[in-house]
Amino acid sequence: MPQQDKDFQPLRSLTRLAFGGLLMAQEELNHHMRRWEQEASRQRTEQRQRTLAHADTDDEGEGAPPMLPVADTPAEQARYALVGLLFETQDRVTQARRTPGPLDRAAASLLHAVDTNPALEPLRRQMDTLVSRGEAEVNRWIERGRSEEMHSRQFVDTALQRSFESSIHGVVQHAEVREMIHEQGAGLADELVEEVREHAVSTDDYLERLVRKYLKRTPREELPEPPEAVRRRAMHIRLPEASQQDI
Amino acid sequence: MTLEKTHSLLGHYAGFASRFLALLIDAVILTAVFGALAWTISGIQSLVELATLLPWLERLPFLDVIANPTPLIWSAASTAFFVFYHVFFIAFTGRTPGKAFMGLRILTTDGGRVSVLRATLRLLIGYPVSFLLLGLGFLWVLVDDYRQALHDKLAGTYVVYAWAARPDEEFLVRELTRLAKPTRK
Repeated sequence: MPQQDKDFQPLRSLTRLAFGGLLMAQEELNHHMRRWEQEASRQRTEQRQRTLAHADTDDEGEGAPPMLPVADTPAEQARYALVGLLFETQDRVTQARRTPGPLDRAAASLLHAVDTNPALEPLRRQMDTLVSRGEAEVNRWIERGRSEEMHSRQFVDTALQRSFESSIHGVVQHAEVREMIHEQGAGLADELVEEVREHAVSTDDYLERLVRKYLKRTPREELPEPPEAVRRRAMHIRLPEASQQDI
Repeated sequence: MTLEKTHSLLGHYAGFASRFLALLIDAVILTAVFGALAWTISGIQSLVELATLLPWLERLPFLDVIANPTPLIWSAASTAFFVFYHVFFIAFTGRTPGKAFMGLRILTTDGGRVSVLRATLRLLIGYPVSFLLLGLGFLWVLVDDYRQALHDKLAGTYVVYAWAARPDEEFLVRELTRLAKPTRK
């Protein structure tokens, strides 16, 4: 068995596929959401400007408390309140993670006391050993994670590319599909030629009528019939038609 | 204004627009082909340098012309190519590539094929006559009952539709309606 096959672990590949897919999906989604937010913000600004341009009353100005719409029902107000609470909570949690609170300060004081007390030196040495081992383990996880993230991305890239190629290959391999594409291409070319010819024939007639009108000549509804020999010859050597319509 | 369903115009005389488009297509082909030939010959000349390879040719009076063709030579070559292109295609296929694209065919007035002599006369005598009359010879197609240009009349040829020709009726009805409206005075 080749070395590569021995190293193959389905579970690991599946994990990479799932993780890489999530990563790439998240990045793609973030990218799109950023664009949508910018677009929505721009539209809100334009809408606001249009509203202000048509307003009859004075502006309320920035910083005024938001006015509830007049026609809200109690159910709508409750819904708005819940949605507002959701976003407020999100903002407060995000803020709390950044700024230290009273608990954080108390814990910091306690740790400082433990750190500076000479009687606790043996305990500190044990703690330092444990912390070193923990740090080493976490650093190993970080390295592994960095490497696996890169592998997962490459794995998903390759999987997508190969899937796409094999789909195209499968479509093209089918003779019916190839035939259909070929006929479509040839049909389009023939249609184009016929379109150009038809327009030219129309323009022939139109130009002639225009010139006859300005030269004050009698307009003619039909062309004179060509000699029979000429017609027969033309029919005999008729060029291949785009459409198989007979006269 | 309404337009009754038209029958096929196969074998009928081709008009100015179709012929002009065919001429344009031929002009593009001629330019491209002759340009490529000229470029190839120039490249070969610069590589070969006949004067240095065969110095005894310098004693011949026309070597200078071969080694360093003047613009006059190129003009003559392009004219010869133009004549060959038209005569060859018209005499042996009844149409140039441009006319083939537009579905046209050149026939004699009795329905026969155009001979090499007739094709040459049509081109070398008919075209200059049409051209020298300020181009009116070409525009004669617009007023002639049989849609012949002057060079067609001189050579005894018709240019006819060689496909089941039919106009784009929507376009025609629209434009003819506009044409039929009385103009303001």
